[in-house]
Amino acid sequence: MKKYFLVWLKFAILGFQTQLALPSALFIFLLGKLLRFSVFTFFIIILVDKTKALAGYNLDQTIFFFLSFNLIDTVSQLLFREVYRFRQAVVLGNFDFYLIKPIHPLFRALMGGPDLIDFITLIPLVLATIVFMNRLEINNLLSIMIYILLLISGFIIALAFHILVLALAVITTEIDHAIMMYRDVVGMGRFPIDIYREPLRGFLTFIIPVGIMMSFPTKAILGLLSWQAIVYALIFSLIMLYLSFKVWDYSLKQYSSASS
Amino acid sequence: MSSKYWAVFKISWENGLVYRLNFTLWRVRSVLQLLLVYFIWWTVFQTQDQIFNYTKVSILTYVMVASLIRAIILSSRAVDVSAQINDGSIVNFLVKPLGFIKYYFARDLADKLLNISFVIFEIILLVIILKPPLLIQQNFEILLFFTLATILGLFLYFAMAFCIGMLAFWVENAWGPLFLVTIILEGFGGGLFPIDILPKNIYDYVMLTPFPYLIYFPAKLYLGNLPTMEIFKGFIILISWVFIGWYLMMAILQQGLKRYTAFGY
Repeated sequence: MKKYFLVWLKFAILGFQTQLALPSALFIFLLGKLLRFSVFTFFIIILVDKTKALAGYNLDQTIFFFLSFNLIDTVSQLLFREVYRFRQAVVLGNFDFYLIKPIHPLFRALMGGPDLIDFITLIPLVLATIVFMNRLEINNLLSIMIYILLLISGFIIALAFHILVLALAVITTEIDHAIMMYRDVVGMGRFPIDIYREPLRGFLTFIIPVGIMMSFPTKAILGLLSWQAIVYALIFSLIMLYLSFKVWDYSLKQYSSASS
Repeated sequence: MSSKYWAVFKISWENGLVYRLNFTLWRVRSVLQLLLVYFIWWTVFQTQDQIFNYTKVSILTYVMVASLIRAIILSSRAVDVSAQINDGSIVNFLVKPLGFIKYYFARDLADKLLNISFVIFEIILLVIILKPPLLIQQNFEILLFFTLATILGLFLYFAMAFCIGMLAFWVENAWGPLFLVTIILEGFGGGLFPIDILPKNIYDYVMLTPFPYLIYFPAKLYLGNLPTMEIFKGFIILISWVFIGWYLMMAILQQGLKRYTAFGY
């Protein structure tokens, strides 16, 4: 575990140095991310301010859903940015080098390139979440702990999705859009899952568990989730992680080296 | 279109059909983006009859038409320009009797045709499944304005994407500016919400930029409730941006090629 942490730290330092070598690009990407966050927040404010509620949630609650979404999304992008570059490694044959090193290839493929930009945006995001917790008068320690537990559960599902994308890239090298499609599917969780009509809502909760990932933590902290649903979310995320490991193992068995 | 660009068009079309899975996933992504916007507005109108001067019919029509416009205007291969400059393959155009801009424009048209054929099918499917109340515009004059604005928007976006791609002549990575423009477009292009729901002073400023003319303006024209003066003003600004965009594109290409140094083995 310590060895992996030290290796990850090395990846992080090297990744940060690479990004800092091009400060203008770093600034533009950071600006873009902040702008996207601001545009969505601004839209939520003008919309819910006018309608007074969205799917039964008031302005502060709707923003809290959006913040929780961003927390999970930003942490997974910060840690799993390397997944976006993985297909290239398979196509060029560089994945062979991952396999022969004394580090688990999945660890290298997942966490080999942490993103400094997401690290910078994570700090104000956590602060904003705490501010909105206060605005919503959430001070029950148990609720906060369940919220954190469900954020972790959402993060585990995100991890499982990223492993599945990696496995897909090993099995079929054609897919460029798989990770971006994951982003779009998960992006449907920017707003409370209740805005979607059945059967799409059920699909997004139980088949592609965007609802569990993104909406359950906020619903739990607002006291709108039963304990059965909380247990279900935790078990679901662990089963999904287990299955993703199995798919990854299967993909490695299918792998034949590429390129010259 | 001369025969060589017609050949580029055909090859690009066939290329799109070869990588079917990739293309299908790209279209699935577009449908997901459409569903998010559709359901936000659908939910809003569960408890309201009218908001920001939009009814359920007008806003859902706006969302569907905006999706169609996205497929026509925002599907562009001009984003590949920076990669060709960075990896040096742009030299292929310098030694061949092919116009760099014309080549990309022919590729763009093929890509757009492919996207349009899919988006029409997707919208029909969604209309059958979701059964949204839609406005079917039958006024010929309005449809003519809508078509004209869409075609002009297509030229404008091509020039914008091409100009940004050519920044690779000067900077190592042009993806940053392209990412930034995509984000600005998401907010001020009209894909997520119609621009006229913004406060009046912000709306006035945004309408002076090229972004709302890529989605919002054509979609709003389709709804048929823009005053004549607004239509006139909109077309003047749109046409001005098209001219500015194409002029800049030519100028940047000329300057960029002067600066470009090819190396390799």
